[in-house]
Parts: sequence; structure tokens; C-alpha cells
Amino acid sequence: MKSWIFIFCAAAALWADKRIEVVASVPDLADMARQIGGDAVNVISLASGREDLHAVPVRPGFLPKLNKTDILLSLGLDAEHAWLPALADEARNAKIREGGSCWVNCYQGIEVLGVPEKLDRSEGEQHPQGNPHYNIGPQCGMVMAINIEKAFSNALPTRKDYFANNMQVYIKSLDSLLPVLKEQGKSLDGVAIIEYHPDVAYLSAFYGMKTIGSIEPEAGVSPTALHLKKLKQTAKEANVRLIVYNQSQNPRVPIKLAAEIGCKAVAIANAVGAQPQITTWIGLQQYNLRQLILGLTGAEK
Amino acid sequence: MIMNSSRFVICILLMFLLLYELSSGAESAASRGWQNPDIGLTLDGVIDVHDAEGSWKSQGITLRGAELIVSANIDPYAFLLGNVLISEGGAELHEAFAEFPFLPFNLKAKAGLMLANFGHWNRFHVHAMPFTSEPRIYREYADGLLALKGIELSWMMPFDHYIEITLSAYNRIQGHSHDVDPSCGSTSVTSKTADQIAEEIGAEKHGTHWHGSDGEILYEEDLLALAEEETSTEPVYISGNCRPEGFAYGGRITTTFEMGPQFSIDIGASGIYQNEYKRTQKTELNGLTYSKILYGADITVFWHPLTSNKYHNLQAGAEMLGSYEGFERSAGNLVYEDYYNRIGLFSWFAWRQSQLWQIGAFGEFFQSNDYFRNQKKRYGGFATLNITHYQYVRLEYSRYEYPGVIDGVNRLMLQYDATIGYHTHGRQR
Repeated sequence: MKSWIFIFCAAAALWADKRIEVVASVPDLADMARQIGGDAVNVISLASGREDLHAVPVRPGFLPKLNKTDILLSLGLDAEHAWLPALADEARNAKIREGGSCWVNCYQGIEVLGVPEKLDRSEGEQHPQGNPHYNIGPQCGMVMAINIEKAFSNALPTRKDYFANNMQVYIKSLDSLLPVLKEQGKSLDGVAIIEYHPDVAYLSAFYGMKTIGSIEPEAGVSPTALHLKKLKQTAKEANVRLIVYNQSQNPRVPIKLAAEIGCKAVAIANAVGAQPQITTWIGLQQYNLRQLILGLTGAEK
Repeated sequence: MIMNSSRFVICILLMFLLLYELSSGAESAASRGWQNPDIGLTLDGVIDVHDAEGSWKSQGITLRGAELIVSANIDPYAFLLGNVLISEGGAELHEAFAEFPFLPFNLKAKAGLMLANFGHWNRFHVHAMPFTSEPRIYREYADGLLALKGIELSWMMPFDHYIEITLSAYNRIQGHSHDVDPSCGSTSVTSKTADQIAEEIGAEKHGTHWHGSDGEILYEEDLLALAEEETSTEPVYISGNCRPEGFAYGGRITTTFEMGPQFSIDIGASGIYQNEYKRTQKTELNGLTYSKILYGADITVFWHPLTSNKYHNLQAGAEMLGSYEGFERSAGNLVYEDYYNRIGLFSWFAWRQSQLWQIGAFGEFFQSNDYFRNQKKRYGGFATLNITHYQYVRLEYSRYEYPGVIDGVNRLMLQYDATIGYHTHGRQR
């Protein structure tokens, strides 16, 4: 009898100790998953955060990670379309294939910007469902976190309260972050900018910056001399003050263009991990604001 | 009157029902699109110039193929893909397979006509290779890339380290190529004869096969059969042998090693064995059959700097291919079987210089797959202008040195490739 009780207790302890295996496509989602999942989850990120999110180099070593995972967190909106679905299809894990029960699109509920009116490759490499670079928009953090918490609660209902408590703590930190960012970024309101690729839409929307053009003539298309000449002219007319690019984009073009226009080229981060000091999603938002202010005024806030 | 009223009400109800049906029908018609498969078309055209036999010659612009791929999930368990290559000589089925990617115990199965899971380059569509001309080791030992009918069962081992093992059974070992060789197929007596037969019947050569006047695909053995096999007494390849010893059996093991997130190395080893690969035509040998083993090993190194992967990256690799095959030899009145073991090595690198430009080089050394064991070599370089992700222009120079067949042929190829619609090569790299 005693041995049965022991076996039962051991099994219960093991069950109680069960952790959700989580793979996140990008470190932003991995950071939120750790904050919300706490000790009930094991989280890894496939991308390091330094890459172009559309062009993460695929390694076969990703497959065993995906094979064992319970949940795959994805930005969705085709942000990872060039690499993640193919990996998920190969991972011998039906529940995390695109559209599967454990493939979690973290954009659900976000006010999606830039939904194309015309779908045609003559418009470049389009995202039919809208701009997927919402992870650098401070206003999107709450929705991302809610989607992650919901996925964890569904996967491990016995720890639902634990996830809800962690979520409350995280929401508090987000709630206190947004007004501070808004206040510190007041000087960005109305500032005309040029982007490299259409990836700063959510950031611009939060701070009120106006994007008047892109270095890429169409998304994903290399800039041509003629396009840059026209862009220079437009930038001068619109009094562009910042050219915004990120660490995965060729810095030579924005720096040269900024010198010709007489404005500043600013390197922001497109994800957590883009720079060694950016280790959390909140840190990502603070870093990007610092870079923008530094570009605008030459002084850090 | 009561009757009329009730009829009126029924008529109104019927009209509402009809309208409801029509509107819901319109809705389902509008949403039927989701059931359509993914469709993509890739155009691959070349201008091929070479100086074989001492003078420069070209057939002008050649459409090597327009590859039409249709694919979709069949249901939650399986995926179906069809690939039809349309060329100037007609259309032919290149791939048609069902894949079951989520079987228990980390298994995956594939059945149908497929690019065999063999070696590094065999699974690539030609337009997805970083160079224009196909590696010659495949042509020498397998008559081209292996598009085979059969079944493959792959198992990803349940470890943290990636190791995948594939076991396969195919109808036979049969290569296929659309790349024309400046040596003009004069590597064996049988193909010369097939060329002559083809000329007689007006068939047009296309890589390792011919297109008949009605557009039908003809292989060397088909042409020989057309000539009632009187022109050659060489052993013939065996088709349609459904006994277990007639099938080709193969396998491949692959793994990868990562040295940080930027450097990785893929390693693989493959083999295919067919016991009854070809059969003698000499009555005195009483239906003797000859076997063939095709084997290989490959290593590919990747350097993808994370922050600038789009602008700079390096891939380099080497692939060894070997063939152990039975041949029929005559010495005076004596006819006997003789097995030759021949090997070759293809190595290459491709360096991405910018988002637009990629350059690279290749070289291969291989023994001729015959008694003479001539040392053949081929080397060259290429530069690719990636206009966008969906179209590129490539210039390739290569030099062929095939002692005993051709000496010092220079070849220039200008290639244009463009893709519309849905097109993906999975996690291929």
C-alpha cells in the first residue's frame, strides 16, 4: 500500500512539475514567454535577434528543437514566411505546423497597419495581411503578451492562475512603460523620416513620426540610383530629419543619403538581441527611443 | 381563399429559402479559392555557346524548361506535389509524389516520382542551383540527376542533435538531365547509336533523352528498342522488373554541426544498389544480369553572418560520387562480366557579395565510367545578378577536358530565370 502511495505522489509531483516546451521564432516573443511562463516553461528562440526577420538563416539544428516543442510562438503576418513554415513542416510535429493547434500567431488583436490594397508582385515582396513588424511598436506589447498567456493557459490549465499572476506583473510594467516612452518621445511627433524597408510603421504610429519614403523602392527590392535621386529630392522638400534603418540593413546607403540630405541616419534595433545590451522587449523599446532622440537632438534622454 | 393564402405564404417562404440558398451559394463560391492548390511557374532559359571541334557554335536561345509546380495539402495527413516541365520538345512529368510528413515515431514517407534523397545536389531543381550547368559526376555515373519512382521513408532521430536517416526503394536507377554536354553524348557506343536512330526518326535530343515527333519522351533504350535492338548487342537497362531483386534500394544519412550561429557544416552519405541493373543480349550468356551500386558522400560549409546575411554569405562544399557497375567485355571469342569502380569529386563555392551579386566557382575530377578510366575534368566560374528574389541573370564559363572524347572545350552560358506564383524549396539550403 505504501509503495502505491509513493508511486502516486511521485507521479503527481512529476505532473505538477511538467513544463511547457516553447520555441519562439524571435527573441521578443521568447522574452515575453519567460516573463509570463516563469518556471512553468522552457523557452528558446530560433532567431538571435541580429538577423533580418524575413531572412533568418535556416539550420537543420532547428529541427530537433521544433520536434520536441509544445508551442511555437510566431509573429505571423508572414514575417517569418521565408523560413519558419518550411521548418515546421519538416519537424515531424503536426501540432506546430502553420495553422496547427499549437502554432501561435501573436498578432491576433493588434491593429494591423499597411494592409495592401493591391496584391501584386510589382508592388514588391508584399505581406498580404499587413505590415508584420509590430514587435517594435510599443503599443503592441500588451496584445502580444495576452496571446502568449492565452496559449500557455490552454496548454497547461493546471497552472492557469500562475500564468495570470505573472501576466498581471508584466502588464503593470508595460502600463508604466508606455506613458514614459510617450513623454520622452514627444519631440518625435510630426518628424518626417525615411525608412529603409517598411518596418517602422508601428514605431512611427506610436511616436507620431511621418514616413515620407523608403530606401527600397518596393519592399525587398534593392535601391536603384534613380530611386535614390528622387528620394533625395522628396526628402529635401519634406524636411526629413531622420533616416531610420536597423542593424540587419546595409548601413552605407542610409549614411550616405543622410549626409547628402543633411539629416541624421539612425540605427535602431529590429528585435530583442539585436545589440548585446537589449535583452528584454521593454529594453528594446527604450533602446529604440534613445537612438531616435539621439539622432534628432544629439542628446540622450 | 384559405388555400390561396396558404399557397402565398408557402411561395414567400420558398422564395426566402431560395434567396438564402442563392446567397449562401454565392458565398461558398467566393470562398472556394481556399481549396485551390498553390501554383508556381519558373522559366529557365539559356544561351549556350561552346567551341567544341574548334569553332564556336550555339543553338541561340534555348528554353531549358518552364517548370509548372502545383502543390497543396491533401488532408491533415498528406501533401501532394506535381511538377511538369514544359520545354520546346513538349511536356514531361518531373515530379509527382505524395508526402506523409507527420507519421508516428518521427517518420516521414514519400511515394511517387521524386528527386531521390541522394547526395547534395540531386534534390535541387536545376534552376535553384547556384551555377547553370549540372555537376558532371551525376551525368557520368547516373546519366543525370536521379528522378525516380519509388518510396522513401525518413526517420529523424529523437536527439537534440539533428541526424536523419532515409531508406528507399525505387523502380530502378535512372538519371535524367536537360543540360546539354558539349561532348554531345559521345561517351559510349550505345549513345552514339541512339543518336543515329534519333536522327533517323526525327527525334530531338534534350539532355539525356529525346523528344519524338509527337512530343513523347524517348530514352536511349527506347530508341534502341525502336531499331529492334539490332544495332547493338550491348546489355540493355532493365525496366518494369517488379521482382524484389529488380528494384533499386537506397539510403542516406545526414547530420549537421554548428559552430555558433554563423558557421555550420552539413554532412551526408548516400548509396543505391540495384541487383538487376541491366541484362545481356547475348544468348550464350543466358540472360545474365549486371548490378550497379551508386554511392556518395558530401560536405557543405555555410557561413551566414547574422546581421548581414542578406548582403554577405559563403557556401562551399564537395561531393564525392562513385559507381560500381557491371560491364560486358569481349576478348576474342570470350565474353565475360567485368565490374568497374569509378569515382569523381565535385567541389564548389558561392560567395554573396551584395544583395544583388553572387559569384562562385566549381571544379570536378572524375574517372570515365568505362574500361579506359580516363581522367576527366571540368572547371569554371559564374556571376549571378539577382535582380530581385524572383528573377536572376547568370553568366557562367566552364572548360571541359575529357581525354579520349573531347579536349579543351570552352563553354559560355547566359541564363535567365524568373518565377511567378507560389514557389518554395522547403528548408533546402
